[in-house]
Amino acid sequence: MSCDEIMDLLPLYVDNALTPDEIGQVDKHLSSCPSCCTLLELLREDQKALRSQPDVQVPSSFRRDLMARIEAEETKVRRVTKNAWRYLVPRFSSLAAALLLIVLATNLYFVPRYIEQQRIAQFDTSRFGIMSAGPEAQPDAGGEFAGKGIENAQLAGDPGGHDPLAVGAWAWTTGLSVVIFSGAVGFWIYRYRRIQ
Amino acid sequence: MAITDEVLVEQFLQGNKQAFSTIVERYEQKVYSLAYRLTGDYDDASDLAQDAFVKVYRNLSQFRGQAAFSTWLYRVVTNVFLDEMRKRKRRPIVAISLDDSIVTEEGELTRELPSPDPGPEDLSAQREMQQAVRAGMQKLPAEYRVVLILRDLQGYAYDEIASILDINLGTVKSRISRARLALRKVLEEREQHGADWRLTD
Repeated sequence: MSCDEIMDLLPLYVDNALTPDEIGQVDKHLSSCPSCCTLLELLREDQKALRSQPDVQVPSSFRRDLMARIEAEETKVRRVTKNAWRYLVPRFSSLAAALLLIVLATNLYFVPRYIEQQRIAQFDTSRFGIMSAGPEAQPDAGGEFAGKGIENAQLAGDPGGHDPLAVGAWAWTTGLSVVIFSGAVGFWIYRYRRIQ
Repeated sequence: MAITDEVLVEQFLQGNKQAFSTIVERYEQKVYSLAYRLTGDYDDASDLAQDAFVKVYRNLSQFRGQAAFSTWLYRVVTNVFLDEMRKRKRRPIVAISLDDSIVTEEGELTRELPSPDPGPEDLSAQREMQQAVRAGMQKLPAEYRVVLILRDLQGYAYDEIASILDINLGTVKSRISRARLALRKVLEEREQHGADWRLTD
């Protein structure tokens, strides 16, 4: 084996970490290579110097300082969590209130029109009933009206009844909006009162 | 027979904070010793040891019990050390304290056992060699320093080192081989440059 290869094995030779085969190879090389022998000796001395390093004593305050630090970090975590909550909740409730206000306004805008539409439908179908009895009995607008009555009855869909699905949706969203909005307002009042 | 480490870990995970304090008491000396040898500085050693224990405190639930608790603990210490070294890149953590007089000025003599303050003429060859080796260690790359410390200063067997560092045995062997040769090279350069080498650090 060459000196380069032996060189890689020598540090492990010092530790007895080589296989018997490898030990044999190293021994064989060492018997005829003074420079590798020197290197081996130096490596042994290095190791001896390392192993004879005195130990250091852990400071007496170490454990106390460590536990104090852990305690401090735990407190910080608790505080950060609490602050995050206090930051998010007001903002979330404001946003929720704003959104629901929009929903409420939309509902309030469309509901009267819907009711109006239903009333027109009802009104028209009753007219339609009268007309079937005798269209000539109607006043001037009767001719036109007769035609319109039929159209409106068809437009209204189910004559004489509301669309339950639409009403339900409206009632539900309005109710929910009112509830959540009140909750948000209540929260703000509560918070304001606490600061005082 | 005292309570085993594994039992203490179990107790801590069930909410017994005192168990953690007991663990620290049991291992603080070894951890601090390892930390000091890795960093070469007392304050950095305290920081490293503390960081390691804090990490253990936070992550103890991840200790699966596959290895011994002490193995896992030393792995945390070396990982924290290596991470810190990577962050600092090439700059070594500490100015190399080449002779005991520096230690005396900082008033830290009481921490090291036993260490009379030698005058330059009284330095035995062995003390000189020890200081040289300690200085040389600080010049090595972090991975080399770690294996040499675990092997020659902490006295772990090769397979224990493999377990601590989570590498295989072959890697341990090659790393120790290269580390020792690197240390030898550093020490040779020191001998050649003598006083100049000290000053440039």
